Amino acid sequence: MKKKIKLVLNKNFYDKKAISQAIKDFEHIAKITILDDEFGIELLQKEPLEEPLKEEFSNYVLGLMKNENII
Amino acid sequence: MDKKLEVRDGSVVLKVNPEFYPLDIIYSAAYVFLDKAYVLLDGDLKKEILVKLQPKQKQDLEKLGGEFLNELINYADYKHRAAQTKTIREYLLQRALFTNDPSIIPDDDEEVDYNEILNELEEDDEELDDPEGIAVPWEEKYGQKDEKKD
Repeated sequence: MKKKIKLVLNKNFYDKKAISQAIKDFEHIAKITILDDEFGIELLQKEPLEEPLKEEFSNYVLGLMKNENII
Repeated sequence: MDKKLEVRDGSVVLKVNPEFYPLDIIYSAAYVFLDKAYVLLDGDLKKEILVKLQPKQKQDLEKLGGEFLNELINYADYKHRAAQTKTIREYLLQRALFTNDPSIIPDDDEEVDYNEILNELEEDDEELDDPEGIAVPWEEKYGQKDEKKD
């Protein structure tokens, strides 16, 4: 069963480019969409996962921001 | 004094003053914690930044929060020292590059300063003590003997 999760990433701390990249990278495990300009995000999990999707996603975005010298 | 560390719902929330710890320091500390905790940043960029840490494995939450605060101090100190040693690092890099290509030294007022530093470094080299006579170039020590053999 597909599970829908919502997440808000504060736009003052998270970068839209990194979020978009993370959405692409998570494509195979979840359908993720940015809902609004405040970075409200909806995650539709395709398969059951061992790790919590929402938290893994936000960590991944932070990691991308650091690796790509956005921060 | 407000409590800066709050444990709730299996996670610990830290309230960080951005005047003491700018955002880049918080990002650096957060990056270190990505392996062991889920990190979520929130709050007000100018007043109070909230760092929520949710450990990936069971862990003492107050200890986790304390470790994060230590990491903040660590990076704040690193940033401070990096700023202090910026000039000398630039000089050292300039010196290293100058060794290979003297033409990269700019022809402006700065050149005088670099030359002074280079001269000082060369003087330091000359003043090296060598009581055992070790610092003799190979050519000087053995070069003439080889010529005689020929």
